[in-house]
Amino acid sequence: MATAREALPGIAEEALATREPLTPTQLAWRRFRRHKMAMFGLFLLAALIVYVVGGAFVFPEKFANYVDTGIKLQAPSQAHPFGTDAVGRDILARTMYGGQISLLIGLAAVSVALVVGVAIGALSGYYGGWIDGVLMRFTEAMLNIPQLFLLIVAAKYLGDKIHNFRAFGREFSGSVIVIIVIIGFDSWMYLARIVRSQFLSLKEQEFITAARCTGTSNLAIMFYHILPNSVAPIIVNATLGVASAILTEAYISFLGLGVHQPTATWGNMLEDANRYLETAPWLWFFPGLMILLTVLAINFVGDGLRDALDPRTMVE
Amino acid sequence: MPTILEVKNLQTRFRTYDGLVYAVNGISYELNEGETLGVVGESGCGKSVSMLSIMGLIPQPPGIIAGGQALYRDSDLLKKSEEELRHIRGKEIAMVFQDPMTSLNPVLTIGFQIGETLQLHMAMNADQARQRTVELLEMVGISQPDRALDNYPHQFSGGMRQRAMIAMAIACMPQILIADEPTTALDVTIQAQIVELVKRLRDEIGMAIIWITHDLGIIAGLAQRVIVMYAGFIVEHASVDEVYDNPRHPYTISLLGALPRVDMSREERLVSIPGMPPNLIGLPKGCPFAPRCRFVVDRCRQENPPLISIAPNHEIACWVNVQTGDLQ
Amino acid sequence: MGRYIVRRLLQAIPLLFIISVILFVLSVKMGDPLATFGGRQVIKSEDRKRLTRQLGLDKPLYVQYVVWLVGNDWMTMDVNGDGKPDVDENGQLVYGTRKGVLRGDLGTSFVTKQPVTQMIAERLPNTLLLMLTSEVVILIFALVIGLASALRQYSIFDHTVTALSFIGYSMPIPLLALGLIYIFAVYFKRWGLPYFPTGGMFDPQVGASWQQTAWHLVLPVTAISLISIAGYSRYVRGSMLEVIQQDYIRTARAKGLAERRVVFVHALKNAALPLVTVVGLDLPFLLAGAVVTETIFAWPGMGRLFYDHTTRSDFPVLMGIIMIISVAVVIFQILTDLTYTYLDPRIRYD
Repeated sequence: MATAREALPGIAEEALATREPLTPTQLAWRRFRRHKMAMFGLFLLAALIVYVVGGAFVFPEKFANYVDTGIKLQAPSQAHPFGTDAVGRDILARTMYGGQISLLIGLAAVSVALVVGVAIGALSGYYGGWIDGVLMRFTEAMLNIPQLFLLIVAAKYLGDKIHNFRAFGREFSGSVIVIIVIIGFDSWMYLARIVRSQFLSLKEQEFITAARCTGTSNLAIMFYHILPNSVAPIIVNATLGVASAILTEAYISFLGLGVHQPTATWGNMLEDANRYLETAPWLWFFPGLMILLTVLAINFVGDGLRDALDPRTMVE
Repeated sequence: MPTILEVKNLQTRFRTYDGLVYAVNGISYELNEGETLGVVGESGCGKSVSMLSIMGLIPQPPGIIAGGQALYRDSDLLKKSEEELRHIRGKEIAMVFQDPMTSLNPVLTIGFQIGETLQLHMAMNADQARQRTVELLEMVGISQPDRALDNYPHQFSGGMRQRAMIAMAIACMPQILIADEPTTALDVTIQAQIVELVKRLRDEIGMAIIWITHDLGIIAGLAQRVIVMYAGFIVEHASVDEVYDNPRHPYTISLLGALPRVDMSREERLVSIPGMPPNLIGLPKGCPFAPRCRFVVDRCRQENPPLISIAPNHEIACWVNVQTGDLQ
Repeated sequence: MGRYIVRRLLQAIPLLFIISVILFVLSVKMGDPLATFGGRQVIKSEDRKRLTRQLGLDKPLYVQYVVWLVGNDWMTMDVNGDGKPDVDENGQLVYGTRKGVLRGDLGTSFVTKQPVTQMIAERLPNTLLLMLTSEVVILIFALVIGLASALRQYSIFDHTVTALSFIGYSMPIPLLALGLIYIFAVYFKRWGLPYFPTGGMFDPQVGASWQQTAWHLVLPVTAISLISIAGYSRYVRGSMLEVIQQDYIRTARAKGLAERRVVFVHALKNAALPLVTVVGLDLPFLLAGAVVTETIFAWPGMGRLFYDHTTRSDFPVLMGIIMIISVAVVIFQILTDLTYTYLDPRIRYD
């Protein structure tokens, strides 16, 4: 094919041919490290995690949920660095606790999507035939249905079906589970397609034929042989999927249909913002900023991962 | 015959993450009018890079033309501005590249791609260019040229595409045609056709040709002189007869030995050259071929031999000066 | 080419079928009309049974699907449950009243009692206006910025644009939209500058007009476009950079062509082609953004309609909108596919 990426017409590859080979992981990490933006993203992400988790040690949850209408809608001050919201709760503390939930939802939703997506993609790519046909048609159909609309309807319908529960000594709204599940079930399609194409190309390789000859079961082949080799694009996609899930949750909660009280998320902190747009911009600015920073960090990291794990990008 | 191109001590390097790559290391040669010069060597030996350097087609950065001259009609190409070079490219010096599928723009018709050169360099208008393009396509042996004009590259076969590329290159009747492995990507039978085509055109137009290849077999029927390159150096420079009958540099000998010949007896085995192509980062101490050379002596590892004339029209860069009798 | 079109259209049919089945199952499960049909009153068990028969909910699921699809005005009804077809006061057989989705009957709103199709039709043009304007803006700016960035690779301009692009497409829409409103509407007003309106399609005191609409379009379109422009300009940049490295660009330069020509004639056409596909297929995401944007800017479009009726659990409207958009997405994909096929000579002449 095309001799693209040739600022050095084939020379560099020849020149580098005689060096010590690195393991794929080492090579990937090395390339990742070169990406200044990706490293910055990694630090930013680490900082955010420290912020939301560490916050729990600074402010008890009661403080974050403490309603005092007497001090409502106060601008940022020394006592309340991010101001107070419509019922007098401290926004700084709420961004910390809200962040925990937002991040949790992002990770959990992607996990759900991973399970479903990998399963469907693997079956589709490995067995081919009518299984592939049916599954892919179904995947395509789901892709054509507009995501946010469907999620809103699902959230509305399932919203109150799961009760609040207790975990880690705190109370959570059942809607958290609902949101995780529905976002997960509406984002597996992209992963499925990627996994499928990986399986399609890898199953023809010789090492798979060899495995079959030794009598390895299909399931074992799929999970121990093919899947580990397809990890790279799955990782990239899943990483970016977390950002997407966080944004989706924010949109749904912003519209009032996502996570309910008593649980705070960055998204539902934005709920009141519309009403107090002019008078209290700190209501939407800080949670919005948190989301922006998180998504930005994840995008940087995802970009770096994509470049680091892509076997085709050799020279910059 | 007057000299049309004189390259003196050309040096090209590339900056990479892993260090400075020494791609072309002081090569010098001459090309006379109407002459065909073969440039032979493995992938990565610097043959393409040296030509692209002359044409000013090496992006700088990361490339660096570290020294030397390329005198075209006594005027140094390496010192010319981009503007001046553009007047020469395509018009006086033209290039044909290796893979016609990727070297032709897939979304523009062949007629368009050939025509634009004519309109640019020969000041033709669209109609004249179209007419001339048809003539050119016919000259290179493309059937139904008036229809082929409006076709896209992917609609041609590999051989046809290369013919179209050649048509594009000779459109303005250049003085020098640089052909960078034009037949490597083609079928053997098509290869022969293309070589015949170029020979015919050469005779008709009278242009000088630099033919780059890693295939010594093609050079035999095409070139008058040959330079053999290794690791950015010229290791042997002689007339084509001398190179074939009397190769003196161990690398050339190995190359010829590695070539399957019709007159080989069945018992003779193909000799492949042991070892790997050299790492071009950093200039080597000593002869770059030393690690793989059958005839290596201590001096080879200490000093890099310059080109020494061992006979009229025959130079080699070797301390050993292998005689044919030394071969078993 | 013609055969290709037909083939694509035929491929779409099973897809639409599956989509319809999925949406049908969802609307049956989620939209329990009996819960809200009777309004605030408790439904008597008698009436409940009547309603069930009237709405055809007593029939098996596949029959319900067929009815949903093609209506029941060709079927006789048996609402009173006596096992015999009903007759009206004139002794005529009573048929159903639904025409089915295929004939444009998307049901009736629980809340407004209007036909859903009509409600959507009223709002659709507004959303289309917003979307199409945004798409055009996105295409233009993404091309220009991406191209400029690619040609000045690694320059300060390029680095700045890249950084801004990352921030741009990481932005949550509410932050961007509210921020825009805050700056361009609220602050501009305070500073006495001409300010942008923030709600609706026109100022009720002035009345609807082209200028009003255009003026009101600015902020919402900016909110939607900015994020996509950020993303696509990077894509164009990447595409352009890859194209510039190709052999045929080297050939073009070797022919002595001016750099301008090399870039705008040889490179651009190759780089812009994939953009067509990408932008075309991005429509679902754009529409998703529409819900949030239309809500914030009080734009009377489908997204806003959707939101308003969600809070009221008006499932016929909700499912109707989803259905329409799904179909639109499928159609749009086909259109994009065909456009790309037409533009890329490698596929057109095969």
